[in-house]
Amino acid sequence: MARTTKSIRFAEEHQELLKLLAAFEGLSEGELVERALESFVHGRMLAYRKTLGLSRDDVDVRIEDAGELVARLRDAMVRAIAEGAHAPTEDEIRAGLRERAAARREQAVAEAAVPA
Amino acid sequence: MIARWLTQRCRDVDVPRAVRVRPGLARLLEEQYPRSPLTDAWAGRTRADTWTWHHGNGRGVVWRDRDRDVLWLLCFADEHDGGYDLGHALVGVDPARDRLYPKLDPTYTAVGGPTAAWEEFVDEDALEWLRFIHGAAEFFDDRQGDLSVGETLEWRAAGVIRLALEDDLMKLTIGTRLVYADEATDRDRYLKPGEIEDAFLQLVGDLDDDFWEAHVPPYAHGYVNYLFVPPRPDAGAWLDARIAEIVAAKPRRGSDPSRV
Repeated sequence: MARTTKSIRFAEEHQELLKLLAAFEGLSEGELVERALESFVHGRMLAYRKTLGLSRDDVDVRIEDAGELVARLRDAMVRAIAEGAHAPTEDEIRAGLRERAAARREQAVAEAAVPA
Repeated sequence: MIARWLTQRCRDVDVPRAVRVRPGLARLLEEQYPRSPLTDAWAGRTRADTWTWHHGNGRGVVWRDRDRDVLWLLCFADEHDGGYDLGHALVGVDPARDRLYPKLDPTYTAVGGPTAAWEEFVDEDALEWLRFIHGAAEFFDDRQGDLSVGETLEWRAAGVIRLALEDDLMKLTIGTRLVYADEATDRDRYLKPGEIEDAFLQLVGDLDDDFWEAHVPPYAHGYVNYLFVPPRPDAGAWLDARIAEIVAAKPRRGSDPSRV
């Protein structure tokens, strides 16, 4: 696997934690971040699936093989971001569900009002 | 009646080895089911609500009798009183000490025990997976009337399912790990994302795609929340349909442990 240097800014206490954890785990800081990212993606994948237009088969990967998800995620995420999508918050999910449920109720009322 | 409940592997592999047990079973049938002609065929079938356990040369079957609302435990062993001893030893008054499943017995062997590794006996793995969903379905069906806003109902077995009512929406939380603690060897695995989603959809009755969304809160990766517009599920109808699928050897996607 090719590795390149990436400079990122994050909180000092977390930088210290990264160094400590890498030493404790016997991993490089990069390896630790890679594993953390894969684990994060695997844990959140079901929340992303619909927004990214992925099928259940696409995301049905064991946690041991979480790295496989990264490749599938990349293209889907590029498309979604280009279309202005983002990972929905819990409040946005609630609002969307209520909106769709209300639309369905209105449609049912309208259909019932149409004479046979 | 017994012929309806033995799992296929028990019938094919275990019963023929217990050569002295058939008279005892016939007697039990006579007592429990007087109209039995005692010529019932030993045809094994799989059901979501049966389980076979093993204890040395003894075998047993447990199943839920929905008509009578009792749990039957059938014990049989190839030695005098062995079945009684086994039954009493397995069923504890304290649920925490209940050893029905998947506690190992002292004579456990890897080739015949119910705690065999995943994928070793695909039929039993499939039943276990279905028991997980079925238990949650019953919980969901039985208890949703007790729900009030702000309270959470929790069903905890090998896995964890929580149900909460939030105004006009409901939230179902599914733990991502199945654990069978055992004195000798724990047996556990993480559910795959597809299995988690399958469990949710089977529990709520295949909701319209527009009316549910998954959400994983930050720092809570061991659980998946499903927010949904509440349906009116019927666990009994679901079970009947699922059993029909199993008998027809058509496990749904996510119910097939060979894919795990």
